[in-house]
Parts: sequence; C-alpha cells; structure tokens
Amino acid sequence: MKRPFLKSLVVVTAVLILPCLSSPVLSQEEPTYSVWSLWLAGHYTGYEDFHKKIGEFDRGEEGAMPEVKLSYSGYKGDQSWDFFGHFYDPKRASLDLSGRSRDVFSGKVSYRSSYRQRATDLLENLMAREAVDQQNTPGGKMFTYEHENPDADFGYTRHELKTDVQVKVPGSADLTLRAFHRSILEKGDDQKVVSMHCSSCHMVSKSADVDRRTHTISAGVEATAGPVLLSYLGSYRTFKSEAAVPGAFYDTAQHPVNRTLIDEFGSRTVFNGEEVPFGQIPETEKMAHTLKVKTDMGKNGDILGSFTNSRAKNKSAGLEVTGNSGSLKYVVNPSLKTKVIALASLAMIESDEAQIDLPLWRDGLTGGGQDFSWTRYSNLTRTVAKGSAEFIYQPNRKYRLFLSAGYEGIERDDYPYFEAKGKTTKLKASAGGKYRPNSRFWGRIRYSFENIDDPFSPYEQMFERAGTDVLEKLEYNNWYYYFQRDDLRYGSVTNQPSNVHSVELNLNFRPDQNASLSAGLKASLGTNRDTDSLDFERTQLQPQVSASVAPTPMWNLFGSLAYMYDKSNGLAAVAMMDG
Amino acid sequence: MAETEYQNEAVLFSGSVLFLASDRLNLNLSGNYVDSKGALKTGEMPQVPQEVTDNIAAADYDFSSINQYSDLAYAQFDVSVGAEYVLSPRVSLTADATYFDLTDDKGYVYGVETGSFYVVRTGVKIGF
Repeated sequence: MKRPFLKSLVVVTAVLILPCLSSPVLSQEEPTYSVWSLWLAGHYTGYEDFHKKIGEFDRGEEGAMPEVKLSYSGYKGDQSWDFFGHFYDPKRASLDLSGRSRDVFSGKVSYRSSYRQRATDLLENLMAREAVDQQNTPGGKMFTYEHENPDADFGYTRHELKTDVQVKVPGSADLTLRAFHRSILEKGDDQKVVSMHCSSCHMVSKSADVDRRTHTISAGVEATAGPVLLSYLGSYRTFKSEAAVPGAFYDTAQHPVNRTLIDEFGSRTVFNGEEVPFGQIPETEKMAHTLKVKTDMGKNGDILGSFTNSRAKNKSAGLEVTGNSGSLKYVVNPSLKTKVIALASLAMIESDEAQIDLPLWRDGLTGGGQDFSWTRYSNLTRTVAKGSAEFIYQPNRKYRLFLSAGYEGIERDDYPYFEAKGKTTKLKASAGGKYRPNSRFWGRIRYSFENIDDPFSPYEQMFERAGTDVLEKLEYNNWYYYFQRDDLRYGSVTNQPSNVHSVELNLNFRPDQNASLSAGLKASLGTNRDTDSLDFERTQLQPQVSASVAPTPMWNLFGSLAYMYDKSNGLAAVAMMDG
Repeated sequence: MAETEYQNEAVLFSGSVLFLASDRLNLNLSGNYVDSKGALKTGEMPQVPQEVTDNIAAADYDFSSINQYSDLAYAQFDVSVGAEYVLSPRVSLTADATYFDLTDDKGYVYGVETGSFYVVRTGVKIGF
C-alpha cells in the first residue's frame, strides 16, 4: 500500500519543484536566505496497565525508537521553499513541503501517518436471563456471547496525503487556476460484532480487516472582471473498502431451550443456519460543482451568490442522492455607523427510495404468508429554505450593538410517511453588544432565542401499551405477532428542543503588555413541552477563566480552568425478554 | 418506562510555565487535567402490570440498578517537562519527558480502562 503513496509523493514533489527550477537564473544581487535544522533524537515509551484508552493514538509498542526532525526554510529572489519532516516511529511520520515562485506559482504537499489502537468491546455489560418463576429461579433463555479472537490487538494506521497547487495564468493578473488533492488510507484490523436473531440471543465478536481508501480531487478557476469576481470549483470524491467482506454463520432459528420448532422460528427470518456476509462498507462516490460570484457595488454594498450541484452515489446499493442549493448574501453600509447583512438560501435534496424485498413471513404456516416487502423512503429528501438579516450599529469605537433575526424551514417530502411533507420551522433572534472603553478592557455579550416548531422526532412508534384487548386475531391463529400490535404503539418523544435560550459572555482584561486575564460563560436552556410522553429539558453551562503573565523576561506562565455541565431528562424503557 | 435524568460534568485545567534560566538553558513545564463524570438519576419504574406478569411469568422485573448502566467516571492528566541547553549557536541538546495517566472508576463496554504511559526523549539539534 505504501508504494502508490511514495509514487504519488515523488510525482507531486516534482510538480512542486520543477516550476521553481525552470525560472530564469537569478542574479547574484538578489537576496538569499536559507536555514537548515536537524534534530537527531531517541525516545523510549513505556506502559502500565491498560494503555489502549490513554494511549489510543500511540503505537502500542514499548521500547526505544530513533527519532529525526529535519527542517529547511529559504528564499532566493522571489522564490521560496519550506520543508519540514518528522519521523517519530514506523507508524507515525509527517512531511510538509511548500514552495512559491514569484507570484505565479505556489504549492504545498503534506503527508501524515498516525496509528489508532482500538479497544475490544468485551460484551460483558450485556446481561439477560429469564426466570422460570416469580422467585427468580434461572431458566434456559439467556443472552450469550463469544469472542473468536479474545487476545486480538485491534488497530489501524492512517495515511493522509494532501497537495494544493495554485497558478496565476501568465500575462493575466486576474485568472487563477487551482488544484487540490487529498487521499486517506486506513489499514489494519478492527472488531465487528455479529448479532444473531432473537431466538438464540447470541452475539459473536470477530476480527475484520480494515482497508479503507478515500480520494478527493478538486480543480477550479477564479477570475476577476472589474468589480465582479467569478469562481468555479469541481470536486470528485470516492470511498472504497478493499478489505474482504466478513462473513458469519448465523445460528439456526429454533426454540432457544428445547431446540425444536425450527420451521416455526426459521419461517420468521430472512436467513438463518447459514454463512452470511455482514458489515459490508458501501463503495461511494460524490461529484460536486460550485459556482460563486461576488460583486462590489461600492456604496450600494456587496453581493455574494453561490450555486452548488452535487450527486452522491452508493455504488454497492445503486442509490443516489442529488442536491441543488443556492445562496445570496448582501452586505451594505447604509451609513458610516451602520451595517446590514442579509442572507437567503434554498436547498433541494432528493434521495432515492430503497426497495426492500423479503420472503413471505411464516410462509406455509397457519396465519402466515404475509408479504412485508416494502419501500423505504428517505427523510433526507427535503427542501430547506433559510433567510436572515443582521443589523450592526457602531456609534463610536467603544460600542457596537447588533440585532439579528432568521428563519429556517425544512419540508421533508416523505416523513413521517410517504408524501406526508412534514415540516419543521425555526425562528431565530439574537441581540448583543461589544464594549471596549479602553485598550485594556473589552467585553462582549450575546443573547439568542430559537423557536422550533415540530422538531424532528420518531413518529408515534416509540412505546407499546400492555394488553391485547384492542387487537384483532389472525384467522385460525390465536397468537399476536409484532405486526398486529400497531394499535398499541404510541410515543413521539424526542430530545430535540422546541425553544432554546442561550447566552454568551466574554470579558478580557489586559492591564499591561505582560499580563492578560479573560473570563467567559456559555449557557443554554432548551425545552420541549409539545411531545406526548415527556416534558423535555436540557441545561448546558460552560464557564471558563484563563490568565497569562510574564513577570520578567525569563518567566512566562499560562493557566486556564473550565467547567462543563450538561443535564437533560429522558425516558428509561426496559425491553421485556420473551416478547 | 420512567422519567430519568442524565447529568454530565467535566472540569478541565491546563497550565504551562516557560523559564529562560540563562542564555544557554531554557526549561518548560506543562500539564492538563480533565475530570469527567456522567450518571443517570435513579428512575421510579412503574409497577409491572399483573396482566404482564401473568402472561410472561419468566422474567425478573427488578429495575433497581438500571440507572448505573451508563455511569462514567474518568480522571485523566498529562504532565510534560523539557529542557534545551545551547552548546553553541548551532548546536543544542534537548531532553523531555511526558507522562499520561487515566483513572477509570466505572468500567463499561471495554472494561476498566485505567492505565498510563510515558515517553522519555533526548536529542541533539543542529542548525546550519
């Protein structure tokens, strides 16, 4: 895997350097500067007890390791180069190279590698066992688990390569071409857990290879014509996992204690008693085009407009998401002391529906034969409209006041059901000010309020009432199955607030050049009293103070202290074993 | 089903000291400390209806400890000390050590994750 990286690195580095080398020979009078720095070192890493959490991004190996840093910075005439390389250990290294030739060419290339240790989910916190009587005598129905690789050390290495090249077209000071590339490769192994069907209440931990590859390339052009600035950027991204799709043998569906009734239990599952691939990571690609235009209309303000078209495709499932969005921003100064910023945007997203084909449920058995094949419509299909305006008033250098109001409307075509056009409407307002009486002190405060009408929530299916009186039986069958119980289900509870009040305060004091003190507070209260099962409330507080002081040129001290508090209420519901 | 509360608190402290002991020697000391806790409040679970216990007798309806299911308590700190001694305008020696420590009082999905590690480094820096 490293070879393509090295090849890419060499190619990109050559692209970066060649334009500089091809520049005209410089005269000896041109200013020249260069400085090299080499750091040769070694480090020793040691562990105590469990190290995969505290050392999550360490290599996970004890022992001594040589370490090297090399840096260079220099210029000659109007050409400059910078280089920095760091080898920490075989799994962690970095390299940065940048260059500039006159004002025509500039480029950067960088490489980073890192390692992530992954701890193993022990599955020990999952416990359930039936009692055969009210005295809690244990029965045979119980949750079980197993680890196929109990001593595995999961983890993967991440390689990231980025390049950014910018060229001003010779002879034209107003046309700039830009190209960008980014590749992320992750290779190693990780834990995957297979959850068997309900009848066996069994989970299996397996090891799975990790080989994820993400590549992004972008190219664009920017041109200026008088007061108008135009730009285009096209971007293409792919993601693919080259690791083999793991497989697992799914337990035979049968009575969990007696190991009988295989036809009955098996007829309720799509697959059982066979090897099945699982945990497949879909191959995806995304193409996006963005056009931007900015006009400077002098006293009449600036207008910035943008339009983006994107298409994301899940190639494994053959599903697409397309999006078109546009935005306008208008900034104007009605007077020397006032400023208005207005924003408007519209986005339309369409996601393919997925066809879920299922075998007939309990096919051939009494009361069975139902076809539950269905079409899954995505709540991502939606139209989002936003608008806001901010008014800023600054009578003099000591004060600044601001006031803003905004609207956001979301219409989901097929949520909570097909063609339902469920809507969420947000109204926002904020006000605040900044005060700077002198160069030693400044403070800022902002209060915001947001009202959300019908925030996103599950739709009337969260809980189930006890009993069967309201249910209708199937013909020739006295059992009640899950699909017959819709009349018992209720609950649209959500942890999304319908009203949010928030305050942000910052105070800064700088008595002299050698000391500074700052304090801040963020606080918010979100509530939702519109749901049928819960009066939701969430409180967040985050005060912080920090100080720095340099009492003499020899000493420099810094300290900060922060506290975070987050409390919310919710509902605890316990699933009943055996239905 | 019962109403409950989840509360999460964290205290974060960080500090650093730089000291230029002489023209040739500079020292640095820095550290970070985070103490975070998360806990569910005990909920008053409703009495399981007779209709349920009659039909699903084989179950233990003791909910007294479900509030502990998501309790978390971590204390994590790191401290680093370093020195650089300038031998000449182009050559200097460096030495530093960093210690990381995590105390996990509520082992959860991954078990008790208490542990630590340290890194000790020395080197020579050459400028040219």
